[in-house]
Amino acid sequence: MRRGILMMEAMVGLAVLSFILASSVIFAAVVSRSNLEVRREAAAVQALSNLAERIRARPEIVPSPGGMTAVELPIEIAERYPGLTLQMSAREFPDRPDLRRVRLAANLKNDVGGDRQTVVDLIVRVEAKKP
Amino acid sequence: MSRRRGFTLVELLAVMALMTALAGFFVKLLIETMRWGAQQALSVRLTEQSFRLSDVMREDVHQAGTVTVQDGALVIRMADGSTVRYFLDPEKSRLRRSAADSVVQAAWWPCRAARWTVSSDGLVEGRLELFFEGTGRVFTSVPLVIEAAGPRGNALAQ
Repeated sequence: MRRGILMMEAMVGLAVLSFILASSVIFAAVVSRSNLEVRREAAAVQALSNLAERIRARPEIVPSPGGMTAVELPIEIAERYPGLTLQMSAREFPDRPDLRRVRLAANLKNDVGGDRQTVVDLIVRVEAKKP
Repeated sequence: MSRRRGFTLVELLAVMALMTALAGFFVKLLIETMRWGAQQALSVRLTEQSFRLSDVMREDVHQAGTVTVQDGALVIRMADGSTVRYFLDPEKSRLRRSAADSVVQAAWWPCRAARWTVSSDGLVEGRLELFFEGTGRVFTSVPLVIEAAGPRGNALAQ
């Protein structure tokens, strides 16, 4: 009659246990990372809203047509969300010299899933160029 | 040779110690998972609250006649003569919004620091630190910068 368990049985049991534990840790890490991504996306949307408000108050910061400008983030946001950058570019309307089509882009650098970009388009009234 | 009919005390103690250690590990894992879940939930709520605060504050500023900063509070005077104030209640760590005819139901946010500036071109900027504190070691905070174009800002084409 057997008086114990085989080494093989014990090892199989340990392997199953380790697999379950490792799966839970990986699952937790994946969910945590996705939650962090959601927060970074939210920060990007906030930064874009802030930039739109800034343009509304200061249309002179709109770059000249064809140009692209990097926009500096507030220090606390830049420190909290590294990898988040803002850009702004502008295009002309052919028949409306007082208007610009402005594109705001928030770029999120991601270590795993590749970079992501959130874009907002605005139509901004600027001072018409005098001939 | 006679067969053993049970376990020795040492064997029993060893098994009990092992089972206790395993049970302790799983309980710890469960507690940490629950704490982590609570932290994530707080974090999501904080994000919602920060968006809500931004929306409410921007709406106020957009409707403003004048915007000033008085004693660390943001004072927004509407065109109809009513006044909306955003001020920090340091004792309760809350940012409060007070208005005579407030339609905003829960007009406060958990906040530890708030600094407002109004520039000459009408751009209003708020730098805040929102936070949530749950039970135990569950805690989360987020820096929030809100910019809003004041009465003079009207560059966006209608």
